[in-house]
Amino acid sequence: MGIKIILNINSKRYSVDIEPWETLNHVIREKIGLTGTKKGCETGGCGSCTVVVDGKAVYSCMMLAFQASGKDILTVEGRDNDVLLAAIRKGFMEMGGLQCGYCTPGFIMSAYALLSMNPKPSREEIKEAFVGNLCRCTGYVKIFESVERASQIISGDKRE
Amino acid sequence: MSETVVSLEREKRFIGSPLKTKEALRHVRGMGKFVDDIKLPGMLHAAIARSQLAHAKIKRIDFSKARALPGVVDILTPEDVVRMSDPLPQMTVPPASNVRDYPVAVGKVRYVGEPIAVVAAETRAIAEDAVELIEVEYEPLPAVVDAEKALTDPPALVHEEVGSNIMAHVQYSYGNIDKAMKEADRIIKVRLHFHRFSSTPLEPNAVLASYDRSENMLTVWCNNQEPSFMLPQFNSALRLPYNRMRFITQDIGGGFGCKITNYVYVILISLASMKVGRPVKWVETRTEHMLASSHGAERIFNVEVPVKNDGTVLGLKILSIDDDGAFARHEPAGLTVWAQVVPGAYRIKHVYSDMYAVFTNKCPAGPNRGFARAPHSFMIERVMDIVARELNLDPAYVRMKNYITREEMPYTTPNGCVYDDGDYPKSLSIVLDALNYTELRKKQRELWKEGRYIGIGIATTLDSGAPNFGQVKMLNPRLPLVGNAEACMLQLTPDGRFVVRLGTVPQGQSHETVTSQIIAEIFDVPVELVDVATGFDTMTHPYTMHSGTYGSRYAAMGVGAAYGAAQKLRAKVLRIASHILNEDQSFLALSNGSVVSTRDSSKSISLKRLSRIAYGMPSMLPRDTEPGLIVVNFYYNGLVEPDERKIANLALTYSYQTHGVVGELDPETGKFKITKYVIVDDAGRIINPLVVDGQVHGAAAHGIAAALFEEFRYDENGQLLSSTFVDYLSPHSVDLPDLEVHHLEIPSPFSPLGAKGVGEGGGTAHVAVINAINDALSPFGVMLEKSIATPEEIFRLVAKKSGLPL
Amino acid sequence: MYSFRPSVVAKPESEEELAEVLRKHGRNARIVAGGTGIYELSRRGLLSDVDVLVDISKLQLSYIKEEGGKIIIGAATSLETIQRSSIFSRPYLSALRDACLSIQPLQVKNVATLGGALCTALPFLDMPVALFSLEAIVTIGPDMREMKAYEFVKGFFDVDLKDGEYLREVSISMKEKSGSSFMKFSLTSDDWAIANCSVSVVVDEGLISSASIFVGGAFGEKPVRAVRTEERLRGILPSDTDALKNAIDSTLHLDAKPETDVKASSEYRMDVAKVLCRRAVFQAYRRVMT
Repeated sequence: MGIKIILNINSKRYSVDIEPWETLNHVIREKIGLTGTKKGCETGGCGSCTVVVDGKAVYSCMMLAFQASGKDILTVEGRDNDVLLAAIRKGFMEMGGLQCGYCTPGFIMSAYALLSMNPKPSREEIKEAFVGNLCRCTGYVKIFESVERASQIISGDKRE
Repeated sequence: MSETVVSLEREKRFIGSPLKTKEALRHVRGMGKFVDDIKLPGMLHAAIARSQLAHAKIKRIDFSKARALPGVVDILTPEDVVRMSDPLPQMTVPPASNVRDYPVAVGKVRYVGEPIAVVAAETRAIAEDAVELIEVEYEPLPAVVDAEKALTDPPALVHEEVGSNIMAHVQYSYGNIDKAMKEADRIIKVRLHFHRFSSTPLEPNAVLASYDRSENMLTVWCNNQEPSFMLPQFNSALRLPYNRMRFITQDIGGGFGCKITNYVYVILISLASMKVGRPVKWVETRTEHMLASSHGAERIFNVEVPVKNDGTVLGLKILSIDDDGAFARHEPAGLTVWAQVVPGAYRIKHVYSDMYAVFTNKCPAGPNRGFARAPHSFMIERVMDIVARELNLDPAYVRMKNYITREEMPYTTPNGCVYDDGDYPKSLSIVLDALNYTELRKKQRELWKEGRYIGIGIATTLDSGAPNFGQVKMLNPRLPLVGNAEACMLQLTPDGRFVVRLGTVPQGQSHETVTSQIIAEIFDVPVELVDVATGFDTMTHPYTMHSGTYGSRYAAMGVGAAYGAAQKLRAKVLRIASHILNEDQSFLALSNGSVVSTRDSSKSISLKRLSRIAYGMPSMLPRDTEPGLIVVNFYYNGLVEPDERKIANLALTYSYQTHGVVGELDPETGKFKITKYVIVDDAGRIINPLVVDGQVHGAAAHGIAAALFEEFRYDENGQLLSSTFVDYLSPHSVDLPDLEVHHLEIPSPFSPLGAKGVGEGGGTAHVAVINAINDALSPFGVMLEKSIATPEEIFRLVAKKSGLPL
Repeated sequence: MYSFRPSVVAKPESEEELAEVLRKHGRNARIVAGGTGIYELSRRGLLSDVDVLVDISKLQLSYIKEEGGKIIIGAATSLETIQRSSIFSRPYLSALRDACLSIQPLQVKNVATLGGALCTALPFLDMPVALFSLEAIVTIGPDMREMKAYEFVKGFFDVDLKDGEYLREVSISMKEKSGSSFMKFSLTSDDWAIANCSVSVVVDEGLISSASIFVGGAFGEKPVRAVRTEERLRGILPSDTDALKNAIDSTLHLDAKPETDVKASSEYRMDVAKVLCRRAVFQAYRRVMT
């Protein structure tokens, strides 16, 4: 069978043939070949598949691909000249907000959704924004610090 | 064996610096390469048919419907596996080693989730649908789920060929326990149950195997933590010589020990590829991971503790039973690995340990962060608290009383381990100060009057690093393993850059970065000029049979190999420079990418120029100097096999950590909420604080999770009740407390740069939290036996108390 | 488990078209709203006969309106939208916001819908319990049939929809002197409820004049109304904590019998439910009084 849909990912248009039951995660990874988006559980339990759809963080393993048709999708690979994404990447690198890197794309996407709505989140707001993302390496501390650093970068603050 | 701490001739630029990690650069862009990110032409996808029952004879398997599904290419059956491969070598001794261990169930299934067959299909979805169509007819057998019963009153035998359910039985006797028992004022009895859990790395196990018939060459991309250690397994099971097998790892999404026993899946998928003659990829689902990858072993302790009334702990008389599941795949190594830290951080002189490992109808056990030392440390740190409670002493006092002191370092334990250096009392003092301990104890008592129950927990554990493989000989003298060694290949390329290939197999420990820091430091070049190859490759990387990342070994072993390689290469560079510059070597120094004379600044040559000469103009080299600038270095930690009394130093470095935790118990629901968390960690010389802090935080998070949330629970039929992240509860951002970290930086006199291995954290957090909960429960006169404190269990204990709190 | 293999996506442009698609395909059609429940349902084998997925994104069923003394919520309104709306900070509606806040991952709340939470009808969900206690009414299209949300949910994965029907909106009547509260007990932030409880009270001269109490988590096929406890609380002064405790501790177990599973035993669930109920009543009461 299969149906054809258009996906707008990182400001690029992709025309793909999909099955109705295929998840957005599967299509992004296997059909479009953007493997930065991970999958760790396929049950909405780990968040490593998180992408941003129309400005909001969603689990790409819990969204069927056809649901994303026509929507604006951002993955960790990102689009050129995205200042916010660049700041988040820098924050994670400077503060050591990752170890094995497997959960990182999901965290970066959740951070993107958070900071685009709330550029100066409190520690508590950061924690809440990340409840849907599991990390097993870092104990989260440096991830929170990374987002705080990214927040400083976008608001032009100097580092102490 | 001891090498002294190196003194570098100038102010350090890179070692000790919180350098951004090289790995981060790709991961923040989604450019990491994990097994599932790799595709090969003609690649098939595998799904695995698995046992629904814990213990049953397989009467019949019908593959016909599955084979008929369009898109199914082939099925690897148990018959195929038996025909194509030999049983996996066993670490244990007869009769337990009589087990015929195949990567699929042959004749009977022994745990829920045990592989039965592999479907290779054009897509993953087809493979999964085909698995659903495989019909297995079982004849159920009683399931062995209780380790003590497995030993004393077995409902069945997991392996008939063994004749019992005993996987291994060992006795170690250090000091003189009988004397200690006689000299004691009291003997305190303790029963503890270290539960079953794992660190559940976020990247599941994954294998991409590609067998080329024309070349008789197998190439495998996998996320095993120590492929070279597994070569004998691969060799036996796949019937291929080492030089016909290539195992490659790239980025690995967390390991924590859980990705050691996945060699079984490496073999299984390799066999599938060998059968179909096409590349086959298998990526584990989360449920498969929970059911059938690797669980940390359960251990039941019955301990007698001879003590003096002043709180001195004289000895430990231990009877323990490990529940290692259905196969001995890395276990029963846990019966020896704990011996790295026999007395914990304490001056305990007499230890007798009678240990059993048993087979049960559960997922095979394997290493998990703090392998075997975490359960042992759990026991010791619970013992310290229980001794304090029984003697009506403060737990901090009892620890101070028994700690090995700085003055006694290096300290030789009763079984010959040599604790390198550290200040355990000081680490506790820092924790107590941070908690405002004395005041807090007063406040605790006042709050009891208001019906509020806070608990304070402390614990000190050792994270032994760079282990001595000779310890497995205490279990099985025939095993061909001793010491620990690691390899590094270092090249100065003709354009003046560096390439490093390590035998270590990192899973997020930033070996690329830390190794670059060392090379950059020694050659005084920017770290950007140093490329450390990602991952490991048996074809292109040097290795030993110990290579890999496990046992907190990188800081000594990986660093040692790289540091030695750099020294060798540096010596050659200086020799060449001396010849070319016509300057005595003692006046040559490496500075800013050049070799310069310290007395005549006109004499200088860039590394780039020197390297071009080394590769391109051999006639300009000194006589007896080979062209090229490639060195391979093997570093050996100098540890030897145990003597007949089972005495030897079993690890090179002994980092340690003391944790302090405060929390409050809600007696109405049993929920314990952590309100303060303090860590003191001593990792010796810190090469990169970002990396070390990350390991400290991560280990703490795992320990807290194990104490509060995570458990693999089986029912009486051997069905796993927690097989997804919905049932198996790993902690999320808001579930963990803020962590306050302090460092002591007492270098190891034994490791090449003074660094001590970290990462496993010895399970400090786990027992610190359990101690805190038991402390909160103390007014109720009750105590947890298990190492997990669910609210329900706490609630039950509180409800059980008689009368009002004290 | 893996048998969720539908072959068609229908994307109706209007509610008439929606009804037609649903009529034509009957139980083989399934509306996809947020889609976050698909895994949970398919792994239980509940979606194996679904062949047509119905995408309702064009129907504009996402809205929150205040009309004729009612708050009306479109079935496709996301939980995140509800959580963000200031309407639900009103005392009598607060339970709904509490329930949204208790569901943790934003990635779920950003897409999961109120209608989906009701139609999925799994007994451990949080939103239905809150809606039941607020005496929410559902409107079922295309004929605009109305019924109590509590009756709409019939049992495990079972709602009162005939072929061709769909959940259109949910409405809650405004109430004077009323406060509500939802509480949940789970092991981690991203866990299903071991028990949850939602309470709505009406307060008259400082005393509870009526209460609507539901408990969920694992209390049978659907959340349970605590009728006897509701009765028992009438006339109680919640700030008399002993009286409140006695009332609930002596009654709630007569209303509901929880189940035992991997997460908790029946007895413990009941003990926790009693604590939650007491705390929720107290909080609901406080919300009216302040």
